[in-house]
Amino acid sequence: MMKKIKTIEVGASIFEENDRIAKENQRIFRENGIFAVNIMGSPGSGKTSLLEKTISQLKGQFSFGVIEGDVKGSLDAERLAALDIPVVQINTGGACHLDAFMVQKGIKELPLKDIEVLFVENVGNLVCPAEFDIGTVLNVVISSVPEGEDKPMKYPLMFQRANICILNKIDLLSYTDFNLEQFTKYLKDTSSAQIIPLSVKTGDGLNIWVEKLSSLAFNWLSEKVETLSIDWKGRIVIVGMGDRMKGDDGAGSLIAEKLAKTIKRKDIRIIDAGNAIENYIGLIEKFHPDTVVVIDAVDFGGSPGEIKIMDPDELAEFTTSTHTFSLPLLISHIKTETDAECKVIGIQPKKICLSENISTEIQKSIKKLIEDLSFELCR
Amino acid sequence: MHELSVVQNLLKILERICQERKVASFLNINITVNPLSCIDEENINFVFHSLTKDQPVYKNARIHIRRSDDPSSREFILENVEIEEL
Repeated sequence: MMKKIKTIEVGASIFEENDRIAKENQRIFRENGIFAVNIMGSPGSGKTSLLEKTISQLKGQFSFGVIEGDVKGSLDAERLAALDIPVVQINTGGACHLDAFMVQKGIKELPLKDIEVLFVENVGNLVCPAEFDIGTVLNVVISSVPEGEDKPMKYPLMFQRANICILNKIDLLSYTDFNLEQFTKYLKDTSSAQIIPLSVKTGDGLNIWVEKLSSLAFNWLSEKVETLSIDWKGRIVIVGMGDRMKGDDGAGSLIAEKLAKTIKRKDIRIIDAGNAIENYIGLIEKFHPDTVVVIDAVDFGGSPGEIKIMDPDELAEFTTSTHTFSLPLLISHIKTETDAECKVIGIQPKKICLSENISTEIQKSIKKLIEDLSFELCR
Repeated sequence: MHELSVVQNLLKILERICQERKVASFLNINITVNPLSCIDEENINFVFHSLTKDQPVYKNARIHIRRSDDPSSREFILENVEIEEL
């Protein structure tokens, strides 16, 4: 009998279940107003000590909670519980990382309403935790001087995933051959994480970290906004469109101009296309983007200044302001040429008329979008 | 090191394929991973066959790992699965 051999195209993420739960965690954090931080690093790099000091210093400002991930035991959890904050210990029972599911179990044991900043201290490991999204807003990796300057080069994924890289134990610099310049270079090769050298023991440099964390947490908590729910993957192009001479229509163009000044990443290109996006198609395609986001004034019948994230197909139902070119058509062209994921951030205009002035409501949305985008993309 | 988690998740997808089709045997399983990922092809095959040694449908399966050239991609993508049908 002939054997029937078939190839089945799947194209699914193996971590789809983990990623789905990570998204759920993200939603839980957002709904409860919790700024969640994933703390990763080698065993002994100083994760728990850093948390002890950080929490002691900021205890008057925020209420904290900790999910402590360890293969075995509850030593770290006991150290942190001594600070009189809610701590949940998760024992992974051999697994080398926390995944979204374990974190969710931890979340459910915490008094969420009483927590503003939640630290998730991952299992000490520079490999596995990097592969598992757990739904946190901020990823921090701690490396330390005795580990040597080559870690960002040897464990690139971990450092690439991090928004902030703390270099701990700088009080030991003079006793070791650690090369800070080389460390920074290795880090920059794979990651755009901000590097903060400090010593938890002596307190040297600790303030820079504490202030950074507190300002990020403060902004996130005071905004209480939904994240833009855009999957920023790969190389990113952001195109702002609009006619600056036509009132609120200029919103997209204005946002792009401002963003270009604040976001400096090699893998992000920001284009202020004015009212002639058709002139920038070549530029967009040459950048080989994986994600293309177009910001434009769109009359979708919302209240003035309302922001709506749309798929290009949705856009076809609405009039996109006054541009001569059909935006849905252009986007579908870009999509075909680059195979990128395309999204439109629509801002509901109030008035589109011959004027250089933008309505107050729209000005607010512009400010908010600039902040949100800068935060989501400031890695 | 986290090959076990990867294999457990992979098996969930393969079990779903088993429910949808008449699978006699799984053959080549092609996975694309992030270029920076530390996953190892030999290890993952070892874990896979250790976990499935009682299930003949997986006996001839071989997992192939291809690294994508996009360092910002997150997922382990199961691209396609070759099966022998009943």
